[in-house]
Amino acid sequence: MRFDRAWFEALAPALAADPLYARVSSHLTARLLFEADGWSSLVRLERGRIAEVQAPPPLMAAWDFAFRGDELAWDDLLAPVPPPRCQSVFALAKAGRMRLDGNWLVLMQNLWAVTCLLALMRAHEAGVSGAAV
Amino acid sequence: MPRFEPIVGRYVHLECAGRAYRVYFEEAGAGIPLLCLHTAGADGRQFRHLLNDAAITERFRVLAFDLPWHGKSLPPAGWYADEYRLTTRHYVDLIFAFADALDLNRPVVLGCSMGGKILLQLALERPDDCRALIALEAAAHQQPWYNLDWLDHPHVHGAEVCAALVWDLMAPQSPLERRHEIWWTYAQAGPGVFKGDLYFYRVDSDFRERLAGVDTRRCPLYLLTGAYDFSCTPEDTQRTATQIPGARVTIMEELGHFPMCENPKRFRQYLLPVLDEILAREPPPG
Repeated sequence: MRFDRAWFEALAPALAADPLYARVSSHLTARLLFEADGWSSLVRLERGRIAEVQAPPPLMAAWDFAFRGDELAWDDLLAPVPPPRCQSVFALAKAGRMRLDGNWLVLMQNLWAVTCLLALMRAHEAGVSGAAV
Repeated sequence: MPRFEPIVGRYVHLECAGRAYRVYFEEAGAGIPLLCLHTAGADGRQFRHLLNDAAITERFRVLAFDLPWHGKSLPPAGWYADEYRLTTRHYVDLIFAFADALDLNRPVVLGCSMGGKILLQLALERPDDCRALIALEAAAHQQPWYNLDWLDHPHVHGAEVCAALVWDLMAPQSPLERRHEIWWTYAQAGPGVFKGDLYFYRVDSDFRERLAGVDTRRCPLYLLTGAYDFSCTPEDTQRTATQIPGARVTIMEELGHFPMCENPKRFRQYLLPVLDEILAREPPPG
């Protein structure tokens, strides 16, 4: 299953080690849901750090913002070099391949930090080290 | 010895629609004027690589001005009472106020995104006053795809949200250093300026029913769009081109919405042949 607890636990050191993410995520406190058919992961971030992972989350779990797409959309987004117009959750949402839901104020207040987080998730998925963003 | 670039920056005073403007521009080179128009919410710094490219400046006088409200061009007197909103009419008038003030004779005009889209209006309205039009990341129409209110919202860091939104429009192959520079320039726009520019881009510039009026025999039109651009997609540009006989389309691989500044080395591979073609069309001197 993609994005299980062990995956996020392995991502945590990369978040802590990335100087840009560390700098821009210090106000990122939010519950983000990542989902596809067949899996669902709820990540609670506190000041940018992963504080808790529930995969799958329990019934009635609350979240601030959700990123949902089919497995192929996640494959494209997280490819080491994404195909054209698959480099962003917004690109995929515009194309109807992802759904973005939740409290938009939380997302827009933290958009740069979340953008960096997604880039680090891509690098972690691909096993790439070095600056991801 | 100090290491100077060949770029020279100056201010010129313009009058447009009854208001006075002090406009900053940069230029380099000599030859046919090549007037460059920046993207929404940005400024002429996007063209610093073109202005430093001897393969271009030895044949073209390259000029890039900051639209009023952008970069080093201040808003006009009394601006603080206005909501900034760029319209098609005002944009065309500003472009020609600048070109006339500098006595530019039939410039080649190159613009990106909104700077590319306005070239469709120039093609319709002033084809004999331009030598050629090079529209980057441009199409007759783009479906609005997000709520612009977030770009100027009291609960959101406007600088960061504008910069973060455009970050995603760039190709992942573009050098990080260049992408971060674009991020930085977007973070420097005045409050509401990006949103005000997008009024032109999204609301006041639907060319879909007007493309039949573009005559590329009077003024050649080149449309170049990055494969990674999901704001103005290659399909958007190609759809536009199919309705303009003679329009030339190039889809630029491994480039996004800001080709001239996100990956200048790659972009010049696409631009130089276009400039060569424009020069080849010039009558021999004498």
